Amino acid sequence: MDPRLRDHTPGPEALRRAADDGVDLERLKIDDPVAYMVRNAGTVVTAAPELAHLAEGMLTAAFPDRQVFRAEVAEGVRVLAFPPLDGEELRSYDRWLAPLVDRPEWRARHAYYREVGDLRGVGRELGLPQGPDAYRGGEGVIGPFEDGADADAWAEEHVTRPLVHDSFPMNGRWFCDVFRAEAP
Amino acid sequence: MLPDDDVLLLTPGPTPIHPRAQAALGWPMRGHMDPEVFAYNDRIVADLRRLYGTGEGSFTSLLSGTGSLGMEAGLANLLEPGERVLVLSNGAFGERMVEMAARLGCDVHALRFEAGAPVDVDAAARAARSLRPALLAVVHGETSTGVLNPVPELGAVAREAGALFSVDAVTTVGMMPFAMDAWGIDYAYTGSQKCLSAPPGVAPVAFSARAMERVAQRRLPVATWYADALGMRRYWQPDEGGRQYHHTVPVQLHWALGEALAAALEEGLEARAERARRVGSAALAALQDLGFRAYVPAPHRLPTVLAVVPPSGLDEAAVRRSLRSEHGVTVAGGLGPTAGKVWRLGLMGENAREVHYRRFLDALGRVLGEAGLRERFDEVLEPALA
Repeated sequence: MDPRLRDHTPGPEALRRAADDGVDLERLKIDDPVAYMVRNAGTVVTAAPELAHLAEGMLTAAFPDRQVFRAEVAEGVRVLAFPPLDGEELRSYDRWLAPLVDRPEWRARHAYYREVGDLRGVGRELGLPQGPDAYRGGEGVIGPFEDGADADAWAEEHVTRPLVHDSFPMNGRWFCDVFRAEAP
Repeated sequence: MLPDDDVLLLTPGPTPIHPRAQAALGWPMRGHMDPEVFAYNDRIVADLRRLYGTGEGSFTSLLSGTGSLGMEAGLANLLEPGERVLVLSNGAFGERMVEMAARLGCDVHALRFEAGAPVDVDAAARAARSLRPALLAVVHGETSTGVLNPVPELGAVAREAGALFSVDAVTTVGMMPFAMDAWGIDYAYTGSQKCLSAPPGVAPVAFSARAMERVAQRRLPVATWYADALGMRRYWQPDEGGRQYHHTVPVQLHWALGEALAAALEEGLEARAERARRVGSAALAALQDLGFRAYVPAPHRLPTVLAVVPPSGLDEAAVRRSLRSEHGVTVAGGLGPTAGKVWRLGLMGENAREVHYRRFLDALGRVLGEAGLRERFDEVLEPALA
């Protein structure tokens, strides 16, 4: 058996979900190793589809011992690793990925990579802002705007409860982070 | 203080410098745009075509850097950010490709194989059919483990998938016949200090005509100006505007590489392959008598790097230290997946010589208190072909 599987012990969250789903994880480890790894993988970053290859490629390169998975979700592409990265490894991953996002072709499109804490918990986002004209509601990073006042003015007009906004500068332009302030 | 000249480099690179290359290092300095340099470079271009077995419309030259620059130049020229590359990896140098491609912002997929085992052609074909990469990349001879990968078969895989095919030939080309065109290779590279036994510092590279077309059709400029193939070609190949300055090439290293390359072609690639095989087989037999064993099974064993597993209980690092400090013989330990597990003995260029292996085995016998190693080597050494 692959030593990554053999030596792996499920965390409390995976055990709880397995109990909820009636899945025997030890059995699954033998019968369907890939399904076991997916159940026990940890999210590394949620990426915009156009940027997902950067997130996956750097994960593959920086952690060759990890199995990399991707899942398409409403927010984009969730990139996962089995076994999950620990805190120090995630910080190391940040140091690898951030310079790529800062390359001219992505900087020109205002790509961002950040750690966010919201109602869903703490996670990493690799994204591209949505232009103000293309905004059709919901959460996201909107911009660019010329300055903070422009960003706030746009938000006053478009962002309504339960959504709220924060305006922030990035590479000389301003953006609105639109997010949900309370559970639906 | 000058270094001791009696040290034997039995490592998988750098190798002892060929006498002709050593002499060429002392040739007079010339400017990088001088006619003598262009004439000499033209000979290097032609000799590299023979070395690599290139086809019509290929571009061969030297990059001013080591084999790692050759690796990075191939990925940077043949891929644009976001384009898909499938790396077949079974050692430290395959992993280096993965990292470089990721840093270039490519869509990197790594198909990994056990260290010490070759790339599985069927698995590679399945992955290539499914992923349809723009580039398939592999290391021919994985220096870190001593495995020879099945490059001709993988060339067919790349063609079927419609991918360009890049081959790291760092530990193979120059020490065995290499058929870039016949094997469907679009880009190959090596380092001067490996099978050609020149000083480190230049990377002989070869682009196929198809690869150069791909570079010419790029949407974005090559991310590295220094190793941009189109910029390099304007220096190496005159066009209607003549030759154009690109950067100051290391002329002395060109002299040395050119002489080492000429010597290799004069000896013949078949003859060099046979030399490595004879010396390597005899060395392995002598080492097996001491309890060493080959790390890689014979069919997949790289003829230019002999990876051996020391007998259990032997403090391999201490023995290597003694070989170096007491006898001036340098052998390499493992690298990456083989670190602490194997010794790696070079059989490239000038280190695949009987005289060097006799000296190594004499020294090893003294360190271990074992007699007869050199005699065993001579006993099993097949006579050289006339």
